Amino acid sequence: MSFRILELVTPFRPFLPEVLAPERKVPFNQRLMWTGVTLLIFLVMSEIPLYGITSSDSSDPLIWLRMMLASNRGTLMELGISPIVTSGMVFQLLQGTQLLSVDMDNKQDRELYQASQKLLAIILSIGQATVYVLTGMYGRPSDLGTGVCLLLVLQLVCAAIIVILMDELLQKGYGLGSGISLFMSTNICESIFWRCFAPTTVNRGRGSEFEGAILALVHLLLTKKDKRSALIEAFYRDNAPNMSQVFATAIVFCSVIYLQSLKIELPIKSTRQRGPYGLYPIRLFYTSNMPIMLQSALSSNLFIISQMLYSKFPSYLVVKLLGVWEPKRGSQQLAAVSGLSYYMQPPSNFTEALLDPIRTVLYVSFVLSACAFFSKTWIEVSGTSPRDVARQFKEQGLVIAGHRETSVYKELKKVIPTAAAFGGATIGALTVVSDMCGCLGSGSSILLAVTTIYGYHELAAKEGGFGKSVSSGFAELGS
Amino acid sequence: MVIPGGAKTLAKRKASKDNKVKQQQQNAPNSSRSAGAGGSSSTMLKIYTDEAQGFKIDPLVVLIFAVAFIFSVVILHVLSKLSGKLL
Repeated sequence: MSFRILELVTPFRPFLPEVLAPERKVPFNQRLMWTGVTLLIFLVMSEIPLYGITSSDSSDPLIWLRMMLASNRGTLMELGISPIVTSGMVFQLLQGTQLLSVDMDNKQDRELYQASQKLLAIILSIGQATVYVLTGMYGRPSDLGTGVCLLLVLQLVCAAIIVILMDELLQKGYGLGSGISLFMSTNICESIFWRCFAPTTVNRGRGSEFEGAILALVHLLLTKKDKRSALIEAFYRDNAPNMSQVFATAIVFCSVIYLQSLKIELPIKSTRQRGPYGLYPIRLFYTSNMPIMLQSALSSNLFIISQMLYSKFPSYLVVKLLGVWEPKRGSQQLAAVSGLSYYMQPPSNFTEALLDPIRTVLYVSFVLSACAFFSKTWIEVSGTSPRDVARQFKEQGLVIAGHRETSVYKELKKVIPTAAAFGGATIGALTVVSDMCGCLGSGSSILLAVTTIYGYHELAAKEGGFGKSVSSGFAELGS
Repeated sequence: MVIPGGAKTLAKRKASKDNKVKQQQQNAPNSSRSAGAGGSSSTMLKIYTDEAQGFKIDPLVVLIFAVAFIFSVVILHVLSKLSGKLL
């Protein structure tokens, strides 16, 4: 037997923690409960500040990635799900490019594969935590002292391991599905909800008002004498979330849900046993939220690199071409004002989009084409290309009704690439629209949250949940 | 229709078929993700889900571990507030 890279993890395997798989299928209500408890723990962890940090009010270099990584600055969830996602991405790429030969039908191979994934995730979390602490994100290491530095690393690594285990717990059948996407969308929903109902107050010279849009509406309507101006102010104030943004978010939310349900259903039948036709749905969002994730990952990475370069070497021409960064009005946060990054950054509102039409056009075309391209590429990488699907059909003895067996591939090739590219472009267009309407939170984050929740809903419906009312479900839990 | 070999062949055929099914079940991935159909959204990343030979943890232990961790951090915070300085 030849030696393979994958075998290298074998000595570490006894030390990798592993959640016990459930003996039998966990009932739907219990899975709901596990999911809820895990989420609660995740949320609590993302609110507790790290012990030992002294300063965290400088400009956040990773702000573009926070949404994708479900992380919160200065809290136990500083790393969020980044170790898991990174190691997953690396391994999937290695496998996709055939650098790593894994036979997914072989149990031994699968075990090694996932053990190495977990090992890499843990190593990555240790590395990331060390880098975060030593680069002085929480204050200079010499000020903190060795003990506190070590304690900080320990906290971050512990939190990362807990997240890894919780994700595994959810996936092994205790929860409803993937933990990663759940954590991500919870974080997004939390921030949207916070912008609607934040009880914190802002002061802009005319007395303090609530930061949350809906709270502010109620407050202004109750306290102001002139109801008309109160309404106008609640809808169009520009220093804090306002009601028009809330409505824009709701509209985007509904349209995404509507678009999710668009699909082409190919009638299929089995060649092995006679029976009724089945339907093979090909959705408009064939690659779901993947193109938008890849697109925002790409641009966030570019922003981070450009920002880093600009802060070190602000006078070089190449660096300036990549992006010039200046702090936004009234905050520490940096924003690009010219260069490539400026054209890749979404306009923050409609007026800004109108003021610089060239930028708007460039931004829209970039997002649309990038999403379409990523979507088309992703179907090849993830094994959902027409060829793969045709092979699956053949293995399961399925043919498209009314066609010869050989023409399955041809038929799928007509539908799938178009659906993927067009769906990617549609999802890109939705992002652009929601960014320009100034939705609460960025367009891509709203899309991510909605598609994930919809996926969960579909899964739950398939599992036979929601058949009974939720209240009776809870009654059963109690008994 | 007469089956050549009679009932014996039938039994043999059935046994081999059962064996095959059993084999398939043993080799089959035991979660949607390892089967290549990621968890909630079918196109998300594929990440470990199967059995491996690490040391096994009960899911309840994971939750208890998490809660204990949270409490220890909170206690650290409280202690440092009480003593008025960092460690």
